[in-house]
Amino acid sequence: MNELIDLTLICILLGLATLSLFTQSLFRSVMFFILLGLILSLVWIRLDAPDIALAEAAIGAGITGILLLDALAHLRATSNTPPQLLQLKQPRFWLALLSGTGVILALGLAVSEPLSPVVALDLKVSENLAESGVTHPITAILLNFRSYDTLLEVAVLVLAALVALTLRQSDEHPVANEFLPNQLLHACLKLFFPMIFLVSMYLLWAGSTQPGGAFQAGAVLASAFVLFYLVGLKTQLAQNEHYLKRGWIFGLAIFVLVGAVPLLQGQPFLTYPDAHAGVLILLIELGLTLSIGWILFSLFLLSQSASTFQKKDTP
Amino acid sequence: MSSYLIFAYGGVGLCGIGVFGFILHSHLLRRLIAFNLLGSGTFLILVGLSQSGRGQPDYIPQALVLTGIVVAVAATALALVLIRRWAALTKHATLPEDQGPS
Repeated sequence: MNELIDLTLICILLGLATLSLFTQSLFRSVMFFILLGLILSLVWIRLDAPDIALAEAAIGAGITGILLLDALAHLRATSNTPPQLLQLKQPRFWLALLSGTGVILALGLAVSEPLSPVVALDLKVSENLAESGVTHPITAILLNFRSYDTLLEVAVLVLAALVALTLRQSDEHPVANEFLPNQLLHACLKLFFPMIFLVSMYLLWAGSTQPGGAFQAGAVLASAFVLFYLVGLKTQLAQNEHYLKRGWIFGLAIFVLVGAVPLLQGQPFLTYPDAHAGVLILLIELGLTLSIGWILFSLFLLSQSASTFQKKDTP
Repeated sequence: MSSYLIFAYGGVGLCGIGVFGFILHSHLLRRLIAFNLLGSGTFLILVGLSQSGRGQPDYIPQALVLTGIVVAVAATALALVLIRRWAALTKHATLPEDQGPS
């Protein structure tokens, strides 16, 4: 019975993937991709990975969907010829087919090999979990055992936002009011925003003992910011480049600061004192949540101003 | 076959479709979607394969994938910024070498 559910999910997944790549309309293609993100979050549940399921639902289906749809609206004016799928005479088709099947065969062969765990890292995690300051293993791995990964990940996010910033028009200020000047929407959002914010903070708080954490909370926060922007409740903060940048650096700065304090006592970078590990992790996570939310929102905002030339041409 | 292994094979399928689409399409947005499919397939293989070896949830690949998803969305957003800038400057959503002999 369980296998049946799994196989159905896989069939839907592969079907949606094929549809999202090969439908004629680009809009449908994006829609199928968003759907695929939602199905994928169910798959993560079946894989016993509720943390990833939460992140996939908020990021894969939510934020990526918003970004793609927004880009799609601005790419309308470009020459968009629907793909000719079965161009059997084109060498490109055969190259693609060959590479696709090659990848499937090679990976399939690799997956079918029986796997023998050489180093039982998961045992080390459960042995040291008590010292990490949190009781949820994934949060312990992300913010204690492998905190370098997370630190560099936030640095990558800041880098992406900085690159996006260099591509925007300096003399351009996107006007928010043109989007959805709807009174009802404004009123609803004012009611919804505290709830979304609360969900985000709950995810953050829950992360120390159960599935949840800074990434999921940040993604939810970003969606709240995007909603704010879409109904035209534009804050002055988003206009001001300095505030924009400070928001990005905030999480990284807290992380580096907390990581650097042990250096004064002659201990390695990013060692938390055992007694305060839980509080420090929560502090870092709070900074990360705010920064991740702000960076994802900024990327959305900056991708809008990257295509300003387009706006003048399209009515 | 355990359900972990089934999803690892599903990830293999996603990777194949992703590579196929990435090479076939010339529209940059479609390529980006194909690239994301490839990424999702990789995540599925990573978690599915390691858990099928142990028969229980393995938290280390899960944490790695969680980091990967966030980096992937940042990369997607950056790619979209580049695509939109490119489209705004050239009025094309394809690269010059894919625009045919016109």
